[in-house]
Amino acid sequence: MIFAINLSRLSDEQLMERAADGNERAFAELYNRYARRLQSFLFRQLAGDSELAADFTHDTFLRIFDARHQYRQNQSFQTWLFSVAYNLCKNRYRHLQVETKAVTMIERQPEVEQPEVEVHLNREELDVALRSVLNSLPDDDRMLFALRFEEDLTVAQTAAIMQLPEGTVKSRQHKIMNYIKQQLRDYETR
Amino acid sequence: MKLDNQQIIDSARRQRDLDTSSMNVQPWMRHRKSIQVPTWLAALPAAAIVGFLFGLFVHKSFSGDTSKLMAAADTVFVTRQVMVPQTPDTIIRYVECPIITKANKTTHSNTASLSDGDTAITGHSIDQDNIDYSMLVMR
Repeated sequence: MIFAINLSRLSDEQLMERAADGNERAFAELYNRYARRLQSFLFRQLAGDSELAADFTHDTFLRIFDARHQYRQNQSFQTWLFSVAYNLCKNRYRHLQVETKAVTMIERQPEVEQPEVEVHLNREELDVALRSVLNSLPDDDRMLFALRFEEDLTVAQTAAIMQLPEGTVKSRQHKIMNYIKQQLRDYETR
Repeated sequence: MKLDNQQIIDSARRQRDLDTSSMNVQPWMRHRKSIQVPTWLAALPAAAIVGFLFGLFVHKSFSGDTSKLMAAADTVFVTRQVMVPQTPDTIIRYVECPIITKANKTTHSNTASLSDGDTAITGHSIDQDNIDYSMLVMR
């Protein structure tokens, strides 16, 4: 008698191991878990281009599917998934030769976290203001912010995806936060 | 209100959730969306175009002016087809040899007017041939 395995109970890594062994249903389960989240992440990284975000999502999963036999046991699936997506985005930025914006301003931000900033924005206004500020960030900083705070990945995972030392990720995230606070304060006075 | 890191993160996540819920996600397809054209099929017309352009370039560069060609190449071999006439070294021709016969008296001597029995007057001294040579003197 064959017992049907409930794939939804398995962890990402267990599913990936099964997919590497040729189980396509396990890979489809991973797709169902992450496709929407990844597409949303890519949508924000690709300046709101929904069609391109859908293409990149599909491409990311196809690349992982093609390389499924190279999966190493206990390797984080999320890190792998976002690494592939990050590299696709990076190639896209390089292809478009997008200039890095406001690099110098962020570089000048102090590494030490600034105390709370007083702003007179309600929640909706803050959401609109933050979206505007995030769109003005350099590509790599916007990516780091999204991985770290929107996707809630750890410093180690973010560092692995962006191929940076963990210390660099930590100092960079402080600088980005300070820059955002400063920009939100300025947003009020516009 | 006081704005701290957590408020910024919460705001970012609210937007993330808004974007995520509005995403139209396609079901998993194992194959690529676009039709995959074989490489050789794409390479053939590409090679033809490159060859045509190269030919056009060479034709434009070297037509009429051979100095450029001479500058580009050390030696130019020009092959031309020539029609060589087929003549044999020795021509053998068979010709009928004319038969030489003895000269007839009637045709070769001035003695035709002489009657039979007369001797020829040639070979005599001018004193004996009875001809007035003074008539031949020019005045």
